[in-house]
This record gives sequence, C-alpha cells and structure tokens, in this order.
Amino acid sequence: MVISFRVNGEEYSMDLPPATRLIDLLRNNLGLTGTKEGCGEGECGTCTVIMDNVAVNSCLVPVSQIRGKEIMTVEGLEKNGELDALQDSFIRNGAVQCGFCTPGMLMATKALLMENPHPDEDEIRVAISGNLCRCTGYSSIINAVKDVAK
Amino acid sequence: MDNIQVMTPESLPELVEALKRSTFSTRPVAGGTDLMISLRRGKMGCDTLIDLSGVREMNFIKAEEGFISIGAGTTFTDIVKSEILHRSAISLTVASGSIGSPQIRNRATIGGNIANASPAADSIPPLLMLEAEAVIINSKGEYKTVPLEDLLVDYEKTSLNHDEVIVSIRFPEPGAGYRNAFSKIGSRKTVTIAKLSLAVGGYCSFEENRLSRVRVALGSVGKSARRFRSVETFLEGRDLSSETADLLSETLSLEVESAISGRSSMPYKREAVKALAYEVIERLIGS
Repeated sequence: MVISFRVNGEEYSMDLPPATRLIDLLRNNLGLTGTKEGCGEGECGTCTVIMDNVAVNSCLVPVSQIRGKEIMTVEGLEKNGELDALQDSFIRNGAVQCGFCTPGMLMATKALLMENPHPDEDEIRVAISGNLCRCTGYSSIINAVKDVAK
Repeated sequence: MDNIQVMTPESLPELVEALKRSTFSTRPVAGGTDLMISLRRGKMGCDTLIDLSGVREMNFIKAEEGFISIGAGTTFTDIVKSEILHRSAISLTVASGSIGSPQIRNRATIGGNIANASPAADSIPPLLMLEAEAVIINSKGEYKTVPLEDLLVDYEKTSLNHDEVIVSIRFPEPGAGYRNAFSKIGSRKTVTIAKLSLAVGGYCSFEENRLSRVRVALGSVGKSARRFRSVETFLEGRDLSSETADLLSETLSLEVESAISGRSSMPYKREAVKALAYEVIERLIGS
C-alpha cells in the first residue's frame, strides 16, 4: 500500500505492507532509532511518538493508519542543532540515567506541554503514567517537566 | 504481518462494501491496541483487516431523542473529555479514564473495548449499568440493535458475525436524580487490567434518600462482565448510608463467591469486592 505521511516535518510516500508497525517503519525504514521498543505491547511507553498532536505507542499503530498524518519522534525535538527546552531541562534535572526511557518520556511530556503548557504535578504524573523508568524513580523526570511548565 | 492486507473505508457506505468482501479471516481494526498484539502473536488466523479509523461517521458523542449515543470509533481520550458523559454517566467517564495510559486512550475505542470482549473490559460494567445497546451494521447495509448483555456471549467472544461491525453504542439518557459510580481494583494504579470492577447506578433524590431502578454490574468475575440482578433487588428501596454499604459489601462478597467458586482468585476477590462496595456507596453519597 502506498502511504503518504510526514515525520519531523518531512514528507514521505512509501509502499509498505499496510500492517507494518509504525515503530518498525521509524526504526528500520527511516533509520530513526531514537524511538525504542521495550515490550511491543503498549505497556512500557518507550516507543511513544506524537501523532497528530497526541502521544501514541508506535508499537501498536499499523502504518495503514498514518496516511496523511504528522508524526514527531524524539529526533524532531531538536531545532537547528539546538535542544528543545524540555530536553535541556531533563539534562539539568538529572532525569536521564541509562537513557532508555528518555525518548518516550520526552514525547509523552512534550505532548502534554503542547496541549497544556502549565500542567500541575498531578497532570504531569498522568501524562507519564504510561512510561516506565527503572532508574530514576520518576521524581527527577517530574521536576524536569515542572521546570518548563512554569 | 507482512502478508496482511488492509481495506480502508472512509465512510459507512464504503464500510458496507468492505464488509461484503470480508471472510472468516477478516477482522475489523480501530485503535488496534488489543488487535495489534494478538496479530503479532500469529494466532488469529487473520489475513485481512478492515481499518475502521477512517469512517468519520463512527466518531461522535451526542445526546438526542432521549438517548446518549457514542460512535464505536470514539477514543477513550474523547470519552473522558466529554461534558455530556461527565454530567450523565460519570461512571463511564471514570472507567474510561482508568483504561491503560494516555497513549492507549488516545487510540483505543469504545467499540474495540466491547468487541474484544475481555471479561476485564473497563467500559462494559458502566455500559451494562446504563442498559446500553450496540447498533450494528452488516454487509447488506442493514442495521440492528442488540442489548450489550446479549452481545457478550462468552470469554472474548461476541455474537457478531464476520460481516458485522458495531457502529455505535447508546443508552437511555438518565433523568434528574440519577446517580452512578464506578470503582476498579488492579495490581497497579495505572496501566492495569481490572482484577475486579463495580458499577452501580440508580435514582436517589436528596430529600427521600431511597434508591430506585438500581442497576449493578461487576467486571472480571466470570466470562464477561454482567449485571447482578439479585444485588439490584437487594438495593432497591434502600437508603445511601454506611449501613447499606455494610450490607452491600456482604451481599457482593457472597455473590462473588458463588459466581467464581472454582477459581483460584475467588478468596481474594470475595474480600476485595467489599472495598469496592464501600467506595461506590461513598461516591454515590457524594454525587
């Protein structure tokens, strides 16, 4: 199936098996390996990307459903070599330890900030409730988001 | 997954055409949050998908002609945000908000939750409590309406034929004095399958404090969520009070014990349901 879509602002039109998972398209076809696969079942959130302004688990999206859609991955946060304020805040607040959950956490919280630029702690916690982290205990991540939510 | 074909209807008439071409190895897909996992396991015997996400007529929430109607393709994120549902069916709002994570709720649909027919499906106890019906379309373009209770026939099984798709779900719009509440228990606070869930709704005026037309549904006890009519009869005419909460917790415990008597989870669930009873009565009192 020929599918047209946008990733990080760039247009693509590709002939793909329509049930291909979005995560495989991003990582294997487009070489965007920032998005991670932790479970393949929508439970860990490491595959989170933003599709048409909302956070989704890319391991569960068949590419037939990305027709005409706009996808943002972690690679799309950086603009002209400059990190997004959210990325800066993660670094400053020690919210990156092993870094595996980080792309998913960034995209989940970026999606939150796109809809609500001043979330409170409860809203931040809900936004990351679908993202697991084994290293930080979550508080540094929450602080990093609070820092840019002011 | 590479050999699976996908049909992409963009309207109800196109969906009917797609259904005409469906076989026993065709499956409808909406958000895909359950189906994509099953498909990958390779055990579905599926070679074709009908992608429902483009059928615009299946995405809505409206109140009309005495019913509240929700398109089967409506995501749980939209259901949680709905003012209409927040006002009239808060138990459905709360249940929907307890499903998965934001990422899941941004994709998962109410039609999919029903059609997947897990006994732990969170939207089902509130919908049963609301006496919901599913509006179904087939490959001939004919519609039929089936009470949700009758649609759920067995563990992970509905009465839908391979050429039928749920188009919407609707329930009578509750009137003044209607109260409802939902509570769920799982291993975690979020991204958790319900180990047990309870939805209770009924009419109860502030002045009289007497429950009438009570409906009670439990999830994760048995093959599908279901109504417990004996508990409804038990609550009929009672007041919303801590005494009723005490009695309800005992009654539900006995019901759970007999409903799943052979299951290893029974000793846990017959105790856990008591907490749900207290929580639900407290929420009904507060609403």
